[in-house]
Amino acid sequence: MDSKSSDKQDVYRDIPLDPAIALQKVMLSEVDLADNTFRITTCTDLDKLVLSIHKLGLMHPPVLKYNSPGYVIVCGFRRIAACLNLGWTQVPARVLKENFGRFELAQLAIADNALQRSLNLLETSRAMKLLVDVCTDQKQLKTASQDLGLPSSLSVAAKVEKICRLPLKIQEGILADTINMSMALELGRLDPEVGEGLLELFSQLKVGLNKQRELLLLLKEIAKREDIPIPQMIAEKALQDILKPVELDRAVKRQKIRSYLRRRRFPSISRAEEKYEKLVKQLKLGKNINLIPPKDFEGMTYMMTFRFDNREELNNVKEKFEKIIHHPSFGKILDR
Amino acid sequence: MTLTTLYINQQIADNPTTRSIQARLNVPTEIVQRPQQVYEAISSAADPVQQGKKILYLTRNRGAFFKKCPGTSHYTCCDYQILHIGTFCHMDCTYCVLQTYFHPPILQYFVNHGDLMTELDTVFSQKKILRIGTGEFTDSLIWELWTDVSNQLVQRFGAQNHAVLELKTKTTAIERLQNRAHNRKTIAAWSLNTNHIINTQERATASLAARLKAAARCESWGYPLAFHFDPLVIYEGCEEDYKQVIQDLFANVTADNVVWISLGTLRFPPALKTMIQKRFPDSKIIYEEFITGPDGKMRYFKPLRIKLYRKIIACIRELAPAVLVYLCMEDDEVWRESLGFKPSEIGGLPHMLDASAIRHCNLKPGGS
Repeated sequence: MDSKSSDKQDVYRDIPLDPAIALQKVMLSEVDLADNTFRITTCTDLDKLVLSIHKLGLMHPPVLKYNSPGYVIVCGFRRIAACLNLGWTQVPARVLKENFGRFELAQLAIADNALQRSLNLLETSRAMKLLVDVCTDQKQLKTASQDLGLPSSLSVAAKVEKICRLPLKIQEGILADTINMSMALELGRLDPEVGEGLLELFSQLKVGLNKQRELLLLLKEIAKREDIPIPQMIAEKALQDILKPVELDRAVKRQKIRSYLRRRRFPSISRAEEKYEKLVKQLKLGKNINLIPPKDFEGMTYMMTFRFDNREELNNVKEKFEKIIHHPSFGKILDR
Repeated sequence: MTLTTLYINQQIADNPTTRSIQARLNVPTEIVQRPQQVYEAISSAADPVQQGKKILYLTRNRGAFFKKCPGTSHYTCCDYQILHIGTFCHMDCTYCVLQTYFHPPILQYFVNHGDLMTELDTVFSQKKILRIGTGEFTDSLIWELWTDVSNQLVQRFGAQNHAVLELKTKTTAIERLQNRAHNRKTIAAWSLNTNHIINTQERATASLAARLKAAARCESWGYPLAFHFDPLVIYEGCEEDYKQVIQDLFANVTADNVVWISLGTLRFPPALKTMIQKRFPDSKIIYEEFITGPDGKMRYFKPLRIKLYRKIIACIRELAPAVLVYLCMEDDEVWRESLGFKPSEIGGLPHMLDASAIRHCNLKPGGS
């Protein structure tokens, strides 16, 4: 028996389920489909489930709680949806007794998902939020998280729990694997319009986390420096001219946008880099010699590396050195 | 500034300086056994930096009162000596490095002045030319409201001929410097900036006009003066604004009475950027073109620093050609490009500053 099975047993152990009493037929019209309090799943595809229920019947009845005037779903959101899809008017369901508290209901809803499959980040977040809302103290939260296979570190739990409170589009960005948790939280701290605009940009450019961070930092700092909202900056012609052309490869777009933003954020540094590159090009160093300037042109020490395979190549390098030393462009590089 | 609590370390609760400060401050007092109790009170606040400005902790300095200025590697240091009278400041400048220098930042004052004076005597007995300042880990004059430290120090320095005390401030708390036997061994110094920077980045400090007026009064009382344009902040129109400050400066004080003027562009450890973003979200000073220097600090891209230094130096030269201008924490290239020479060519920066102190403050090298 693996640890999850063991957890599952533990969770159900204290819950007085009595199927003989609780299993009953419920009219689907009496189920409140708008109440998503206990929804964990993010899966919206019902095709396979509909087919399965159609062929084999409803093997596991949903768990409902009576909440006058109808029922709320605790476990089985997709099963109920599939049954409706099949045109059923009623389903067999386990209806929980009234003495079930919010904590027990949350445990059931989470266990029904978390102990049977891996949850994605958004589902984990929904599960954590449910627990956070019903637990009375940190100790109870930690123990319940552990029992249900959720993150037991309270600091991690606090971050994960925020995910399902983010704007819907950002949540969708996580599900689509466009952004990870840390970027989602970062975007969530911005105005919804800004966060969603950036998500759209990341999605369009298909950039990884490091590049996302770099773009975000550049955009945020330019926005601060120039007093321009980020969406306005993204909508500017200069950026749209890079983003729009469908024939332009994504990698090229990424490079162009990064370079455009960097030039705008660090105009003097970019100009100095471009000037340096131009002068180095004039030196015609060839593939065996490399000239490395001081970092950010702050220090005074330049570094030169060279490669050779034999005496002849080394001799060529030596002759090249002589030419470099007396080249006017080299003087301009050193004089800055 | 409003202090909310006075914390007193039990060990110095009966110290006369403690009693005197306590009598001047009408705030709730708490005696603590350990500094950790004060640290906890600060660290638990939502904004520990702000909290650290609201409490005053009286304690004894268990380390040395004299410290060499920490300076920074790879750049030319002025070889300044720090007289460590206390830490932190109740004014609130966005760029203040003390926000991240102390953990936690705490307005702390050392009351064991007996130890301080003993150390001072030892230093004086060496008969070395020294430039000593109290304005490195705190503002020199914020303590004037509650303490007599400047008064004691001014008189002590006035009674010898080898060391000079620099009181560096952004306040106008100069009243108690009047009629003191300073013997020109105390330099009254102000940190200056443009009105724009003072208004937007130097919360709770005196205005430029007030600082210059205070400087003029100190000059009238015979004190030599010094000025520190540090940090110079780059923003649109800054060159014209700094030019105006320099014009205002020399309209208020006599160039011949200025011992030195230092220039230093804004630089900060990376941690301060986060602090500024958090505590001063409207501040834009961190969004200029910074690079990470070899000492790990953020500083403006070198050509931008040189450009600003050149403009300011030209302006000072026009109005006060003989005043010693030096650069704080810059390398030889910046010195050469901005001032036309590097310090080592004329004996080094400490030598330049010593010579000016000797001339303006009548110091006697090696003599009695």
